Amino acid sequence: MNIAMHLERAAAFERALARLDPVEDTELFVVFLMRAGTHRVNAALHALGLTSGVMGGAAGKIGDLNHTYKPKLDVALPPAMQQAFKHLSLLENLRPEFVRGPRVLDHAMADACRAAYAGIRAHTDSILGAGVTP
Amino acid sequence: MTHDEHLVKARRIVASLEKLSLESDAMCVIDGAVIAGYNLGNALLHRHGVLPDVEHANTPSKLPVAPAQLPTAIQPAFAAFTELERLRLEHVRSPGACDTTLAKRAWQLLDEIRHAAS
Repeated sequence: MNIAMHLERAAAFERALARLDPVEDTELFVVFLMRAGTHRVNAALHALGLTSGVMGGAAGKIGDLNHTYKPKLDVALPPAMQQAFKHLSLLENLRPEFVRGPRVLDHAMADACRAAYAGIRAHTDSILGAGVTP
Repeated sequence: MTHDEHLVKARRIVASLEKLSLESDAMCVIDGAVIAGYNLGNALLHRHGVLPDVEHANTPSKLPVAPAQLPTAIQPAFAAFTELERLRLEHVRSPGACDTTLAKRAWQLLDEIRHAAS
């Protein structure tokens, strides 16, 4: 997907998140934060020229990441992307216990999730530039 | 997780899905329906002895056996889940547009799986 579509998709997940409570709706809250974050990370990687927005990849570059670890990205990441990956990994690592497992977020963990997503936005926005939309 | 734990999770996710708009959250409805399907599908796999409680299949494409080799009683549910997974591939993980019709179809498929698991 191209950068604009990634950002539209991120915004779509953000709109859905606004309807959800992190404790009552733990499972979709975690998944949708992860999805929105993944789209922003993909947009930033495309903007840096590290991956391709063409489905399946092009010009020797891989296409979109499904997760920070899949497919494997064998390039050196700038510090801002390293931080974005760290925040996104935090969200990804919640899945075994909170999405596929029996646990439910408490309010402190919900705040940590929101902070992780805010970190992803801040670091990817710094790459995408002031004109980033939506 | 156990069969009962999966059903608790599935009920929670369905309640969350009911908060979403078919029109403006169509893509999210499809994605969330697959998450509910994960729990319902694994409940069925545990109940019918396909997988023990400590093993799970994320989606039909990740099953340890072909859908046609599943117990006959749960094949229709997994046929519905297979189509739900396809909707996610084409409209959530790919650029395919989402709309109310697709969101409604996701709900229909999810309801088939829920009925089988109830």
